[in-house]
Amino acid sequence: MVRRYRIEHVTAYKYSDQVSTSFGRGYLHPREFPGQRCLTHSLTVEPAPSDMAEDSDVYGNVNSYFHVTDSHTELRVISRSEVEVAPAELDPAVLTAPWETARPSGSRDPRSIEFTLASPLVRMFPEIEEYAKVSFTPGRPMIDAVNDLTHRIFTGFKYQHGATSVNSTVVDVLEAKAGVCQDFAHLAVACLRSLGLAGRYVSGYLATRPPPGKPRMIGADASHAWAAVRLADSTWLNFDPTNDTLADERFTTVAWGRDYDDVAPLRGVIYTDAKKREMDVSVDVAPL
Amino acid sequence: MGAVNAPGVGSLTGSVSTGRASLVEAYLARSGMFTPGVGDPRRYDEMTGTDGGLLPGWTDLAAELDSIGGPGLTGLTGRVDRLLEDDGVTYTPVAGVAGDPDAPTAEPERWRLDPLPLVVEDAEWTRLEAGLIQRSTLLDAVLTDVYGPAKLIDNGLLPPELIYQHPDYLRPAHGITIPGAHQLFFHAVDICRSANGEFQALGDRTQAPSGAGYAMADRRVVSRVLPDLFRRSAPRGLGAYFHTMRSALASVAPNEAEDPRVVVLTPGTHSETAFDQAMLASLLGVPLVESADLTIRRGRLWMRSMGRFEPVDVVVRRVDAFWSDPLDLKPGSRLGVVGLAEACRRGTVTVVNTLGSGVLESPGLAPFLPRLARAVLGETLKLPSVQTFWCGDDTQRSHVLAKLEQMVIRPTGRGKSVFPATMSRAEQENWRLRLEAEPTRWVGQQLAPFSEAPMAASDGLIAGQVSMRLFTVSHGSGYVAMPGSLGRVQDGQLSTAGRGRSSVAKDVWVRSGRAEVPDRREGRVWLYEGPLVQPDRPDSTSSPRVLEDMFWLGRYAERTEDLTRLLIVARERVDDFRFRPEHLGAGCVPVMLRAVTEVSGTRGFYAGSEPLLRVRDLMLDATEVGTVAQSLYRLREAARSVRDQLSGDTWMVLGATDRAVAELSDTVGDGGMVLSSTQAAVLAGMLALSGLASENMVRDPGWYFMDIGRRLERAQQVTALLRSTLIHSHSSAVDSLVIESVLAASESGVTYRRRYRARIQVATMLELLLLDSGNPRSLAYQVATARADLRALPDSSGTSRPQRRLEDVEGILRRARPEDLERIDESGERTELRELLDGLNESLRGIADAIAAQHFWHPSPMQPLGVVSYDGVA
Repeated sequence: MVRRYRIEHVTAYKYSDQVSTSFGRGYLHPREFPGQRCLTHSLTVEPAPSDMAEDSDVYGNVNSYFHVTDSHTELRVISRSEVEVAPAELDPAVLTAPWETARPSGSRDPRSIEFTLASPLVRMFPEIEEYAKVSFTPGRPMIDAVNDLTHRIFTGFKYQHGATSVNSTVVDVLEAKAGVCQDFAHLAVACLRSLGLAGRYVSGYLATRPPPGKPRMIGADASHAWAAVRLADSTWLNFDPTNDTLADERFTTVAWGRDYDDVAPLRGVIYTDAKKREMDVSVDVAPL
Repeated sequence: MGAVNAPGVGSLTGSVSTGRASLVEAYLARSGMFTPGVGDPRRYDEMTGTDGGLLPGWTDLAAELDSIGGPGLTGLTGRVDRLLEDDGVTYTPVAGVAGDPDAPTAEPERWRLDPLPLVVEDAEWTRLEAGLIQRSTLLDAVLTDVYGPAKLIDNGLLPPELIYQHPDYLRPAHGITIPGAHQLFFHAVDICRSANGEFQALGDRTQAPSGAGYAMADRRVVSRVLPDLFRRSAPRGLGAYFHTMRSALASVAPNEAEDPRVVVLTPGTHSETAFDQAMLASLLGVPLVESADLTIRRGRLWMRSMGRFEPVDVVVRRVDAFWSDPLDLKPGSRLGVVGLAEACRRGTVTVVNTLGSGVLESPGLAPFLPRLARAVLGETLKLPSVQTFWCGDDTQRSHVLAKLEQMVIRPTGRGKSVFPATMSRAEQENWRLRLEAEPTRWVGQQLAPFSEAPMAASDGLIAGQVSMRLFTVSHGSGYVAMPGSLGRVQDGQLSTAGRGRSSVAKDVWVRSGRAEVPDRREGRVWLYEGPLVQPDRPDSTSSPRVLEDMFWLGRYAERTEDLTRLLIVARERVDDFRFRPEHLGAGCVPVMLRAVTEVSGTRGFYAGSEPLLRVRDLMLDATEVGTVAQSLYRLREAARSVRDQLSGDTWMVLGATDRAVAELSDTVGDGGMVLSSTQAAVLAGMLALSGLASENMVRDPGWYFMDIGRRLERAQQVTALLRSTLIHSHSSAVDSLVIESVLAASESGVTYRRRYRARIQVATMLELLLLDSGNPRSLAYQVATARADLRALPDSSGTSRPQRRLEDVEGILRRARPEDLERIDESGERTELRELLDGLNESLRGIADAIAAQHFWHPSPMQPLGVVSYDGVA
């Protein structure tokens, strides 16, 4: 069933001292692809930037650049979008094919090789391959292997803030058996890549209010992240280890890349002597 | 040089007629031509080729060598070193990991250059040049494709791992297209020669190729030490290449730029090739800028300049691309400009080489170049690489593993190469496992077969293993090659020859075969026939950083001069009374020594030890704050960071000063002779610098700030000297000698004696040193000059804080009455003088601070916006 959402994503910073200049780059504009349309989008930055522009990156994600030159102690970035999401339509034959058939090579689907390689936040370790192989047994249908991996991460790991830090690797996550959604997404992507599969990291939102009778999902009041694997017919299967589910029309995709660093919702550079800062993020995804 | 034969070929092929051994014959008869451990043990000899007879291009050089002989050769090396010092040619060895601009660096070392050029025959050059230009054309096609349609990957011509795994494949560079025919603007290739003389590429430099400036510096030196040979051989000139580069740079400016502004962006004076960058900027006649000089506003790149912003159209990038933007590339990088990648993508500025060009440096591309040349250009690769095998390919990896000891293992990304031949069995096994485990990250490259060429050593000619770095620049629809190159002698060989760790350069002479040399005019612009050229505004190249460095340049030059004068006077006083400690005036010695300590802010003289040893330390010890040596060190640092603003003669002066200091440092048991001659040389150097400043430099904002620095320093020095010596009164004899010493240290003794008929008084001396605005050494003169300097600045308001404070000081000086200042109270102190000097000291510090606050802009610290994690805030 096609669903529509109105999404409001507000990020607010407060600083203890004047900030003379802020440069920012945001990945906040939901991208379009078969199955998702972005009907409207606006990005507001306060104070008003002297320069602002939108661009599309190497993976086709829409991103925004802004430059605030008025001195400020508070910065607010407000992203509003209306999207239409349809459930993914994947070929059952491809989903049930042995997972090994989806491996890209230099002669078949060579550009997807990029997503089989380590990236700054998804480095490769032998432990990860060991962990992945439990789900990806030889010849197993892709959909079964992915469901199994999703379920193992969901049941084997505790959802816990502060279990990992900026410098944590996927192995740290594996050992801590705990983390938050981007940790689980990175772990899932690392598992795929350790097997020679193309895995990507997806950044987006979850429907805030659950449909009647369904529980509210984890990560619904903030940005969310999950993983996707490339199938033999060059489509992608999205799955969410944080919620033990395949991604469906409850998931709004904003951007995808190799890992968090490629698609961080908001990053930037500021010039200030401020020693302290506060940040507040709120996300609301309302069905229409 | 004694009597020598007229130069000629005869002395080489025939018997040696000078009666002493021929350098060249000894060289040609050397053993060691056969080096074990290489597949083919023979090496190509640049001088003789493969058959042992001199090649035609080398006969003049051989004749020259035999005519000057061994002692002449030593002299030649000495002159080269001297000229390199005079030109300030340096190289800064990198202490940490290569490629990391944040790695700590050592102090700059003198550039090493062999006096003997490497000669390349015309025909050989023509072949080489064609291969070089083809290689540039090919790599340009690869670069354009990789950041564009990626057809080469789709078609299986280029393994995707070589691109996607490379640290210099920069995803934010997608969307950048620089104007003009090529995306690869600068290209350099390191080449060597196989045993049969074939040229082979060792590797490509595409990130930000360095060395063209060094090649020019080498040429200038070698052409001066071998002037006759240079005239006779008439190698092709290098200057035209830089003219070509200048016009090529202008042509890639964004469309709307009419008279484009070009800058060279340097990581700073501590960068490995800082000299090369500054040299390039000066050859191009464009400003050398650092990160702090630039800013992005409204999506464009600007250069800060006297409170204004000047648009920048083209950047010659010498900062590695990854470090060149903290927003979209490396977070936290202090070498880049926030938003530069955005501006590049918008096309408002052209950065060359373009961001992401470093991906072409992967040695993993080498095995694929022949087939790429066929597929992309429809040609055979003319300049092949040293045989290279990519471990990501099963067949190639098997070959590497089978021949491991004949290989150098190189990473496809950044990092060090390793040599299995020098490893233990266990280490080799580890490497085999590693190559199997991460095959796509490594190549095996056949050990390079370097050719040999003669180079000068202390006892004649030795054979150096040589390579060359060749340069091209994109121009019009093609590429233009520099008709020469940066020759280098391999390091490994040098350590055995005992010449230190950085490699030795060689000037490369490309012989012109044609009778007339029309090629020298290629690209050269003679008289400009367009409309009258508008000059750049004089302040347009004055970023706050440059102004601050100029200010400190002035201060340190003055500090060096004043302190040296004071030390000279102190030394003379010590000597005067060394054997007359009972003399009435001997009390002036401790007063002057204390003055040295107080004025310089150094540790005191040690009781009971010889004061001249301490004076020597104050000349030599750069680790102690306040010494002459430290001041000189800072002076040199400041000069290096504004190299493009200074006359080239500056380095000659600083070189001579350094040699004098080195002589003192090398002298053991100096009786005072060397100390005094060194002091004289340092003083002469500083005087020469002020001469250069006053006669050879345009009065632009940089000059004014240098002069303000000098004025404020001199004002503070004279104030400090008077405070230390005259606030407390001594016996008449001592005070009289102290006054004479102070006058001497302030270079006002002659004036004083003439004006006051040699009658020594405190009041008249204060009149001359504090109040006389006609005495260029007086405080009043410094204050008036500094005010005039500030007024001359383009953004002068006449009422700025520094100007008002200088006026205040002028008021204080006008009201001061020398006869009151002279008065001594019952405790033996000149109270009014103390109050005046304390106040002046305070005011002068305040003025320096006010100038810094107003003119030397320092940004607030750069911080990340703050990390937003999923599920809330981290």
